[in-house]
Amino acid sequence: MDLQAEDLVLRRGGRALVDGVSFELASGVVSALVGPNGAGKSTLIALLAGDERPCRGVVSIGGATLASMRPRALARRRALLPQQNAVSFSMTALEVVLLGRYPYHEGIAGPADRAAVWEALDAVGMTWAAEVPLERLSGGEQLRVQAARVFAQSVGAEGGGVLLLDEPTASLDVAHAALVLRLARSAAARGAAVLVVLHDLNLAARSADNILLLAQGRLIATGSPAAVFTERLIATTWGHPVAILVHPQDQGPLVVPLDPLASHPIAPPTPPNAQVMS
Amino acid sequence: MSRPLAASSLSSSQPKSGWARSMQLWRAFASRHGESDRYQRSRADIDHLVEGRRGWHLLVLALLTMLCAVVCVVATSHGAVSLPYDTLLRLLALKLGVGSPDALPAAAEAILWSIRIPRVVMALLVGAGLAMAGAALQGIFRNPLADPGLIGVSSGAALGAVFTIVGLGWLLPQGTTAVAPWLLPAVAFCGGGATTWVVYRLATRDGRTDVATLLLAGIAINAISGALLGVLIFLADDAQLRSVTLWMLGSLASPPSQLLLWVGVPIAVGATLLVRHAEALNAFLLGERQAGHLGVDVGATRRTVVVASSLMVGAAVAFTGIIGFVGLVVPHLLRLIVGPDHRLLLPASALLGAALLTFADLLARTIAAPMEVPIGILTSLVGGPFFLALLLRARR
Repeated sequence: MDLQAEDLVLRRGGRALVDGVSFELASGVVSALVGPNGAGKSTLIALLAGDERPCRGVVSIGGATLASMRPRALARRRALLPQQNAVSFSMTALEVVLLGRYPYHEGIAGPADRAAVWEALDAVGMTWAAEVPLERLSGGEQLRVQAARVFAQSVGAEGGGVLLLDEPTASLDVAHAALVLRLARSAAARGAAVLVVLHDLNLAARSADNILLLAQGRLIATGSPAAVFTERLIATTWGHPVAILVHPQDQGPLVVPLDPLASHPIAPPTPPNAQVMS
Repeated sequence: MSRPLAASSLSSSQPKSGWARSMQLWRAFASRHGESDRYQRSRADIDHLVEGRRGWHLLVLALLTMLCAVVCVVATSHGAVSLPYDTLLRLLALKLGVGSPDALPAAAEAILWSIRIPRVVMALLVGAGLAMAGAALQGIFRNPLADPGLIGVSSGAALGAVFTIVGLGWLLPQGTTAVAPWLLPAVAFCGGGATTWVVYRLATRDGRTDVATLLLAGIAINAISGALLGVLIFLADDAQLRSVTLWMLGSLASPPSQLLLWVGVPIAVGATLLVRHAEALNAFLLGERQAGHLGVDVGATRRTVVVASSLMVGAAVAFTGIIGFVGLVVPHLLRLIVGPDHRLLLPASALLGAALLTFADLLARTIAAPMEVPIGILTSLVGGPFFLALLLRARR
């Protein structure tokens, strides 16, 4: 299901955290939201999810504005994994993921709900932890359980729904980060419009069809990874020099941070098979 | 990446057979990936776990209902005048129109129906109300230390009650209870409701309630009520002072049975509202923002839970005075045993709270018979150390 954001503005304390942002997330497409710390990525996610009301502008999902939807109807269309997830009173992983089905049932989880719960737990490799209280799991395992809750919520969403993931790979190792992004990809294959906040530009280049580059509350570039990830744009946005190489597998851009204090000049453009660089 | 690690662990050990070497390699791999003690659950396993929870819920509720029933019978039988179980049965049969009143102890019927039963019912209602409201408030504020006192309902009710005893005592020198037995509970209930409303209003701006402000406003309003309470106590004469102190310590002393309805109805209404929001309370445990993402109307749920809880606690406190620790300890204890699922926790808290308070009241009126120990003393005396024990155990 498509999501449209039109001219979003959010001001707090005289400062514009999000300043006139417009874009569209299309069904079946994975987009990555990247930008320096404090660019307004999480604030933008909060606006898209309906946690915050914009001072100006409209967010609509499938043609209906967020404000016009009842909470439950909205929850059947968009699922969100926030950056911070703290669970009170030692719930088990199964209890947490079952809550992902809250928008779809009246108190008692039916067969379809249980199937979605198992599928999500199995997809993140956490079925073994079903009976384990969440606080006994490691940070990465807790994040995988929370991701499973969000994936369970997005199963059966109207028109595939909208899936918003705010730094889902923050505490995950390289294999599990790839796993979660593959799951985001398979949600998109079911028709979801997916937006993932990522700090790792290479992960974004590998996993997203579309990059949204946010800086100081403004959307300064959108497009394919190859179009957005240029040495000049990244260096000016983050204030840190990088070299763009060619990824050996998919020939996409490979972002390599350089040492800003090094005196020697940046090496000339490297040939495609650049294994020697390491 | 795994090769250097496996190689180093091999090189440091004795030469092994091929099989042992491969086992060692596998173990190095498995422990690195944490798979050694982990296993996959099939879809049927998860189905089984979810179904099993329902059976477990029914079992827990059945056991607690039995406990409640046993405590009720014992509490009805014992007291200043003992009513043996066979007498109880015959009195019950008599009420149903079976048997004859011959050979029953004099006044047994009156003691049972107008003293013992109203008192036991009162204890059941108040215990259930306090414990269930405590469970719901702890859930909605995601704080195991939340208790009804926190949102001002207890201190407001106390202020109302003491105002009735002291302030109206001057206007009605013959004593308010003689004029209207419902006056003190009514004013106390309004006091509890008013303070809760003030606390809630202070914390709400533009339709949004901030929990931190709510808790802090509760502390401030409690302090102000405490000061006003102090002024009233300072102005009270000796007889009033004694009534005030006894009220503050709590008592379930024989309520006129027509008043039971005034306790029962608010508690039943509150309980119904809370049970209907059990699943939304579960979502709150993930965080308020997350609950909102799952389709819970966060503002409406919090409003309903706060109103329902203060209705229950207000009704209870208005008639019995301050009875501490039931609302704090019962949900806490149950959460350790049955987990945090409010669909089970709320009814289980009601049952255990009812059983516990009925039992505490039985102790209160029998350990120093014919004197009555104020029940608030008992619950705090037992509840305090018990709570400390829970805390220390949890820290270990």
